[in-house]
Amino acid sequence: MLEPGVLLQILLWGLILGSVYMLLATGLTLIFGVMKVINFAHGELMMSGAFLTFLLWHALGLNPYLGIFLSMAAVGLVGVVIERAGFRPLRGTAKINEIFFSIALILILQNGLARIFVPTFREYAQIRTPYATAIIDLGLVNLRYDFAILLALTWVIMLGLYLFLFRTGFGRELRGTSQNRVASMLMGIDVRRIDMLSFGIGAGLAALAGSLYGIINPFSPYAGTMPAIKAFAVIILGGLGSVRGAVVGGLLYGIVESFATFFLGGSWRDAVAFVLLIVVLLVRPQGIFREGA
Amino acid sequence: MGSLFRRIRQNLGIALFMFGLPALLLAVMQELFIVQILTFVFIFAIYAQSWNLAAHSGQHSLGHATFLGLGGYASILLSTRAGLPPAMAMFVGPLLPALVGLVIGGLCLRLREWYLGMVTFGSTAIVQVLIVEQFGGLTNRWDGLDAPRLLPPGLSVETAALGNYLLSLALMVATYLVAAAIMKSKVGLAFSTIHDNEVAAHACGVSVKRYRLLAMTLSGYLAGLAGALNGHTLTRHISPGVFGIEDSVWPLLYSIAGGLRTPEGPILGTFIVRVVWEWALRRLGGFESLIIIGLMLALIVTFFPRGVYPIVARAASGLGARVVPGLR
Repeated sequence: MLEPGVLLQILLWGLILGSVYMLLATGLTLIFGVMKVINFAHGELMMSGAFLTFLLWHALGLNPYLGIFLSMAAVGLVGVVIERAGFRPLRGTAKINEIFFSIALILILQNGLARIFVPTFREYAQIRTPYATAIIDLGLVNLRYDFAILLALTWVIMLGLYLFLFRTGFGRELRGTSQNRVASMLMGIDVRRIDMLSFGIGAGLAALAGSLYGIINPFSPYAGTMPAIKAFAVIILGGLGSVRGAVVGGLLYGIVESFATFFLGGSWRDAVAFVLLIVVLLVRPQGIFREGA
Repeated sequence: MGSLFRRIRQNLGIALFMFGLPALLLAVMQELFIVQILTFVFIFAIYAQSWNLAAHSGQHSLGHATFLGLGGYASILLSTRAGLPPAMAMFVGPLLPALVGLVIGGLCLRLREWYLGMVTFGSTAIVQVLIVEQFGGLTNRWDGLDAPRLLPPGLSVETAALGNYLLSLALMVATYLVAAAIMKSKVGLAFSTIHDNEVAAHACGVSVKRYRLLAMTLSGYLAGLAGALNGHTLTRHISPGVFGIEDSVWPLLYSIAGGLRTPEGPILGTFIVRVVWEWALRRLGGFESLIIIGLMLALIVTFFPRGVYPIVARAASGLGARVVPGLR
């Protein structure tokens, strides 16, 4: 039988991994709720965030935990531009065009990143924080200092997002647009501004997810695709457009994946996501939590 | 068959462009690498055609690499383990991806758009793991398999390349004829109705389920054929890397660039995109060429969602051909 310490360690790792998925999924679900678009290039926005944080640390010596905020703001801005210049002109045309456009975005962002990244840093890079070797001893398990900070940071930002969504006017407008676009328009909400806002927030959260990923894993410009695909699985699991579903689903999925990797072996890690996804789509296509942000 | 010939006569200009141009290039070219690029174009035009056929029935797959890869693996294994000559294995092997297409199509019956995209995408990752882990003994895990030559050994490099070129051209033309015949037929009409409105199709008495499965199975077979052909001629090797994202994106890109839901589109698109890509690769480098392809896709989707087909069709009708307008 396994020791409880090992199980706890796997659970902890799953929680960290789950935070990455949760952040990605929350961004995706916000964007989907408002715009009814799934941004397939979310993983590439995520890696842009990781890369920016990495560059700020590597070139300027900035503490990664400060760099994350700059990187979130910058990638958020990129998201706003992408919505304004890319997705908005496609609104109202066939749904499939938006899928195609986001695939074009994958090619552009991924290779744009690789163009700068690969000649200098070769295959992989990792963000090293000043606390990389520090460990908190919790008795049964050892908690890396970084993990503790990352978990705290993630939850502070998620709390901020919650307050934004449920306690501010903008947040109310965003939720309204997500529930009923036409009615919101009739109530005088500038839904196109809300589109840009939601895409900006989504991209910013992706940048945070990326930086988190880059601190706990070596990363490359191509590393974002798989996590993003899993985040799609998560939001379908949790119910499209549901933030609650994205949070619960993301964390749950991280933990499931962590255990699956341990018990089935590394090459099954990615396949588990899709088996889960297919089962959910067949059994409960509306997701665990239905509708509404 | 009569209506098929009519379609070809009506699309004479485009047919000339598609088959005449490569033949012309063949006559003037001296360089081996042009033969190889064109062989690649033909093989991937088959692949794009298969994707386009599924898309015609409203099933925009994001995981066609599943079929491409399985076709390659099945054909190579049949020729190395079962002793079938590659020329025969190439046609028997794709029955496996056809079967897998039937299964995936069955799983996806209730799904469309994003959902269908996700499941087809995911199936590629699952198949990759199965190939590496479950059938590792057969497939040599991550190292992959070497493929026997399609043509008998002992030919000079030039003759072999030319042989592969002509064979691929012939198969591409055959695939084109099949796709054109299907799209023109009652089956094609059913596909098209399902694409536009599944409920209406149902109400009209179209068996949505049967036609969607048919489209996926057929598409799986053709994609597998392209994979087998590619394995036995160009790459001569297959590895689990084939189940990547890129190989799933290419056919969609080719079809959109050329013109969705026309049998000519995938061929035009493969040719154009490949030429642009080769040019950019030589001029600018690997990353830049893919950025350019991405920009091209974004611009086409935004400004020419019907691809170059209407433009070519207009040019062809200027040359005297009577052209049927492509579908939306």
